[in-house]
Amino acid sequence: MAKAQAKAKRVAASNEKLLEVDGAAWSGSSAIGIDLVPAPVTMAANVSGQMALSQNHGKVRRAEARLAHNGETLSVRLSWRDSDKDDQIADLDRFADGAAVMFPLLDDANPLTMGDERKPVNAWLWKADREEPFDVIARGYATSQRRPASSSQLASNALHRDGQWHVVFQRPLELEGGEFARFAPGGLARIAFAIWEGSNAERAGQKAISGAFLAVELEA
Amino acid sequence: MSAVPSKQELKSSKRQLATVIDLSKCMGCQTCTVACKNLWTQREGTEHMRWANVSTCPGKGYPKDWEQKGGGFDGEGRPQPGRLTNLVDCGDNFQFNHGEVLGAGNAQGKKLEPRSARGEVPTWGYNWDEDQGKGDWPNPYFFYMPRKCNHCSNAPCIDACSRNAIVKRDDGIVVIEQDRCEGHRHCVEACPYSMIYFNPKSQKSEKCIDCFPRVEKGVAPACNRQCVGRTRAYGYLDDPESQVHKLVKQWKVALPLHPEFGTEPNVYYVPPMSPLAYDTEGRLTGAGRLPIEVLEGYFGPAVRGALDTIIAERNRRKRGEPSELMDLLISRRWLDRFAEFTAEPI
Ligand code: SF4
Ligand code: SF4
Repeated sequence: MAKAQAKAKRVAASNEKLLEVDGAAWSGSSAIGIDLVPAPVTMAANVSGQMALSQNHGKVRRAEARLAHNGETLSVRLSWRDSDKDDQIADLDRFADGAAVMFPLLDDANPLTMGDERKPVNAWLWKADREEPFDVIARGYATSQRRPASSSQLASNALHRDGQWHVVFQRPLELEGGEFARFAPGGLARIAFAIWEGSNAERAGQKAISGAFLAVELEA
Repeated sequence: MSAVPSKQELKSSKRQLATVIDLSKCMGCQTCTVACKNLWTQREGTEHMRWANVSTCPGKGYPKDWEQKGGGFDGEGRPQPGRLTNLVDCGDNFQFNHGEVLGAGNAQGKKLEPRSARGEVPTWGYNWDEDQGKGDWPNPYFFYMPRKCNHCSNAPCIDACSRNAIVKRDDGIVVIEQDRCEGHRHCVEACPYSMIYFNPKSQKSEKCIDCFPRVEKGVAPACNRQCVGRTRAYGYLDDPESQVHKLVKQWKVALPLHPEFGTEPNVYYVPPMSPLAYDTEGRLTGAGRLPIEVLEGYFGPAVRGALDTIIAERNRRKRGEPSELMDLLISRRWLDRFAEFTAEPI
């Protein structure tokens, strides 16, 4: 088993408490600094010639992640600086802020391409203008499919305060059936991050990403 | 799960439907615009959309400044960056103070005032520069340009969609599959004709569907069929009996708009004949008012040959000789224009 680079603390808090973005349930978990880089788009030229021309995406370069579980659900809290809160699409040329966390369904799936035909990835996608997050399954560029949050009992909560976004994702550790990432206390979760800055017209592959999967140990 | 289709697969079709519009006959009545609006864009989120539209040339067009927005391909076939349009560019959605004006006791004091989608006094709207055109007295000039999606044979919107949501059907009609669209709008950037509109309500992109539910029943698209100027022909380009084939392929008098965009459009235009110019004494000079360079700017160098052919055929008819081309352009029997698409819409 790969070496853990960070830890998801086991906490006694309820699911509801962990969904509170600034709740006390988060006080004990340490922040993981995440460096982000503009997602490479030139290699996506065959799925979107237009997207491959993008040069100025990936505005957010630094985020902070916290992970916690309570034996029932895994919660991921992501925070980043963003002075422009884009939580609605006010005109035809406007985009909403967004964030996602991604997990490989097989260990060595490629995070840069969102997996491939044989090695899919699962992601949780939050969009600032939507009521609910999406559960995403992808097998490489242009294949991602948004599934309703209910398909995996995925929940999210977000808060924009003092020029920062804070977003919490939460999902049961184990799920019956379907193509979903699975987690177990004492086990290792592999996780990657993406952030879209709406005011910079970021959407689809135009985003900031963390690159390689981070190995996070779920406290037993 | 099936493999991701290649862009080439998505862009090719068995046949190609096409529209021809005779610009000498278009009178800018907007019947085509309204026919389309009534059928397709009365839903919430589509207020600003005119899948079929008519604007004055030269002019800023619809959406505003679309000819400068970018997109399409360069000479080497490389996609070009393009920008997005906004609500005001797309003709806005004016609201009027009807309640105030028509309310009891107000009739004398209030006047009707529009407000833009942004709540401001409008400074732009659909056909804001109608009939302005160009040229100095006594020879101003303009013509009308009815547009819709060109259902391009080399459609950059298909290349642009990272969702592979845009596909060309077997009949050549290009459609955006609403189930797959996630509203990323790369297609809006890529279409050099600005014929894709974002729906902020559904958060998906929409465009002209060439009335495919009608076409499948043998009914011509509404913009073509409802045209009161009898300007429009419709049919398969490879059908030798169709007027579109005869005008585009055989007589070569119908040309695509801005062929230099590299998208191989399938709406073709019979270029407008020029009205005659006056001298300062008000006498006709025999020269045309519409500079040929202006027409070349829209239709490329082929416009010269097309106009020469039309003028030569018109002169034949003036001499009392028969002209198949003049008969085609006149179309005494209206339904002759629509090849096999002559069924009643009911
Ligand atoms: S006109 Fe624009 S939307 Fe229509 S097929 Fe061509 S590129 Fe696509
Ligand atoms: S209905 Fe016909 S004549 Fe009227 S504006 Fe449209 S194309 Fe021109």
